Amino acid sequence: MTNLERTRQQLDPVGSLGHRLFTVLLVSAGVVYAIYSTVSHPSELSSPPLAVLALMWLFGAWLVVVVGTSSRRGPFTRNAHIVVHLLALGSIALSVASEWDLNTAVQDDFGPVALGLLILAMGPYRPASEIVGAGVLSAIFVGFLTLLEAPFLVASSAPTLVYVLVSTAPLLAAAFASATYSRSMVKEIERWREHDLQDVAATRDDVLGGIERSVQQDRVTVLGRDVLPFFNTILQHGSISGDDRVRARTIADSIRAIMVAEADRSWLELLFTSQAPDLRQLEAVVADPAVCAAAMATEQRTALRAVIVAISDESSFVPNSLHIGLRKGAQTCHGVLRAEVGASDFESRSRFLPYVALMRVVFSDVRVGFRDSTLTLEFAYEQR
Amino acid sequence: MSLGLPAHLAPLAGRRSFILAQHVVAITILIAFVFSLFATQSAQLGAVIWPGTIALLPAIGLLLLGKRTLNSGWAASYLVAIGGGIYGVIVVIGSQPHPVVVGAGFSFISLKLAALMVGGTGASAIVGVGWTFGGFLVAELATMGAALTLGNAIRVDLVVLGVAVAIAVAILINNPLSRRQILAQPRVRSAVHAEQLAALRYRVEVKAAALMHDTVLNHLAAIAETSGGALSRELADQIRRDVESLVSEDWLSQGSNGEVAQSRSDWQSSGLFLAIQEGRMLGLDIDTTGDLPAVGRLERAKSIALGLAVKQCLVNVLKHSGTRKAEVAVYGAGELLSVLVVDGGRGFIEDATPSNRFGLKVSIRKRMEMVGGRVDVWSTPGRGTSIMIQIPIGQGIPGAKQSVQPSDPQ
Repeated sequence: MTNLERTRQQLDPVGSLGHRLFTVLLVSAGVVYAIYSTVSHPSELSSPPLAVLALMWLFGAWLVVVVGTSSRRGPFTRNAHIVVHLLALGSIALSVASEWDLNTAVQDDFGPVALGLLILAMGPYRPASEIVGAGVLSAIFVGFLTLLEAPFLVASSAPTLVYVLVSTAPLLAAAFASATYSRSMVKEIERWREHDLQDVAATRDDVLGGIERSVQQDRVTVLGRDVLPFFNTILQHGSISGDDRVRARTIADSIRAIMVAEADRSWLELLFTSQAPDLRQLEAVVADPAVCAAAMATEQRTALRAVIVAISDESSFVPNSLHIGLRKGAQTCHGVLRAEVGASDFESRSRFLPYVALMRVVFSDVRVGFRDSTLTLEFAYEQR
Repeated sequence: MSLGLPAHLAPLAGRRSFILAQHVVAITILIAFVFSLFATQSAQLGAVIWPGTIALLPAIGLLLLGKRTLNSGWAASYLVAIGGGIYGVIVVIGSQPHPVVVGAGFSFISLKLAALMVGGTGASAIVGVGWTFGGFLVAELATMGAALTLGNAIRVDLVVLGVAVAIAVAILINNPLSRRQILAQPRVRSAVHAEQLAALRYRVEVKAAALMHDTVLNHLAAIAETSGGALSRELADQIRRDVESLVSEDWLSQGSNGEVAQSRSDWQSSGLFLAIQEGRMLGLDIDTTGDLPAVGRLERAKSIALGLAVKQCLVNVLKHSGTRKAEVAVYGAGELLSVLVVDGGRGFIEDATPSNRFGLKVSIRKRMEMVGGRVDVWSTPGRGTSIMIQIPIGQGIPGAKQSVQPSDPQ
């Protein structure tokens, strides 16, 4: 099994692609506000170089979010989330230092707003508990910084607690809101999945009956050729001759040979047989000498299947051009899929974006290349 | 594999989650404001500003109930409550005989932001935008009303208007689905279902292979290994019975139907009991020990699989061990049933078994894996063989009802 985190991005990789524009605008708004806030209060700057440095650190956090949430990258990770917080907190600390002794009010400081927007942007990408945890820890740090600078604030007649509340409330509000969004979307997805599984369970007996009849028919066809006539002959004669013994051994060997061949075929090879109606008898070359396909988890098989179906459905797909190779590494299996999709590289990139996003969630080291109308998809996964 | 949300549900789920997040922002802001009021009150004992908190309580209460009542009636009530709260707080603070330091520590903007977070109903994004500007209007009208009451000048707060516009944009661009995404969703869903079907088929194939081995291959081996002459009555009966079974319609469906699979039986009609009986009929001397009635706690499908697997163990003893004595021990502690089949025969090395031998591989191991069990084999050449089959007693077969995924399909 792959260990999917309870985030919208990982439980609904295709649907979550739509968040990107919102995410970029949200975090960019924080950077723009930080620049505006800094240049509009020049009299409060005791150290302009530190103020510039603060903006640069914030830009670093912006960059991590913008690059990390790109559809060409993998899922946004916990480490990236931590880096975003650390960079933003560094920026806030530098900003406080740059206004040391001259800051007049905390409510126009950019730190809490900019970090708050970064936290809000995490909603589709990180689990609720992590967002709250990181948000609360950051709020504590920012509150501590506010305590340090409170004595120098011009309007120091207000209670210090009020300053702390002003600087931490945006962070707490953003963390709780972002976590609520994350949890709510995950619940909606899980509710739908539950509903879908119930549908599958409700029709399971009918489906199973059909499969059992089909498998039984296959077996009876095999048995009907040699085995059943042989058994009938033996039963009719009521005795076993030397020829019968030889024939019994020959038939057993041929059945075993069929069973060995079936056991050695991986699910990936079976995809390109009549057992996979969604692939419409697609022909492909599968090179999997070490039977690495067997090591794929259900999610990984599903994602690869979806990619193959998407490729085969493309009208510009060149038949027989699909090659899938799997090889065994020290601890991981590596896969390469190649197919001529006949479209321009840009077009292909956009067409297969949702499926690549799906692959990125369930496989590691996913690399995509488009050259001369050929799609190349590389991926890796742990051996189970 | 998660299916993700289908295209027709994703926008609604996104709106609903967005509204819940807006309400959390509002409630956090209001609670922080209440704390600020108390902190200011404690610092300025001459002022009486604590009643301002009472003005905010209806809005806070509605937000706490908001999750269950996402409708236009709730949203309208919230706007009335937050409008009243803003008016009350400004009037309470503004009517103090001595100026209260508010602007330096906090401002009324946060209260107005709470009004913008009304969210509205879970309907379309446009409706959400409408409710946001409704919140802006209410906040500004409440502020103007308070200004008129206090005799102050009236002015529109452009910062709040800017935030309202930003929220409206956020509502409109939050998670739109592109054509590619809309096309991809059903394909992913269909891939999930196809995988589930493939998994079901795999289970049936394993079951068929195991049954095929139990019957056809065992009989062929028995015929090949006889010294010729008359066909024994037992073998003839078994062949006749199995041939009839193979061509009958319920050959594969035995015990796999949902309700039947979960029914239980007593020891006398369990698969294990029948397996031991058949083993004795084949000429084995079988000792049984342990908690035999515990087998009756197994669901029917598991019981059948266990019986067939143990029968294959006993057939292996008969065919390969060189002894006619075997012991079957049952341990039924807790939620795990363990069955140990032991013989003192010649033993074997499992890894050295030819790839075309399916007795242990398919009829025993794969068969038990399909019902959530596991098989361990300890065997040393010359010192006998012990096969331990463990199977969870609890409800449900992996992949049978809740999930239709095998543990290790090839």
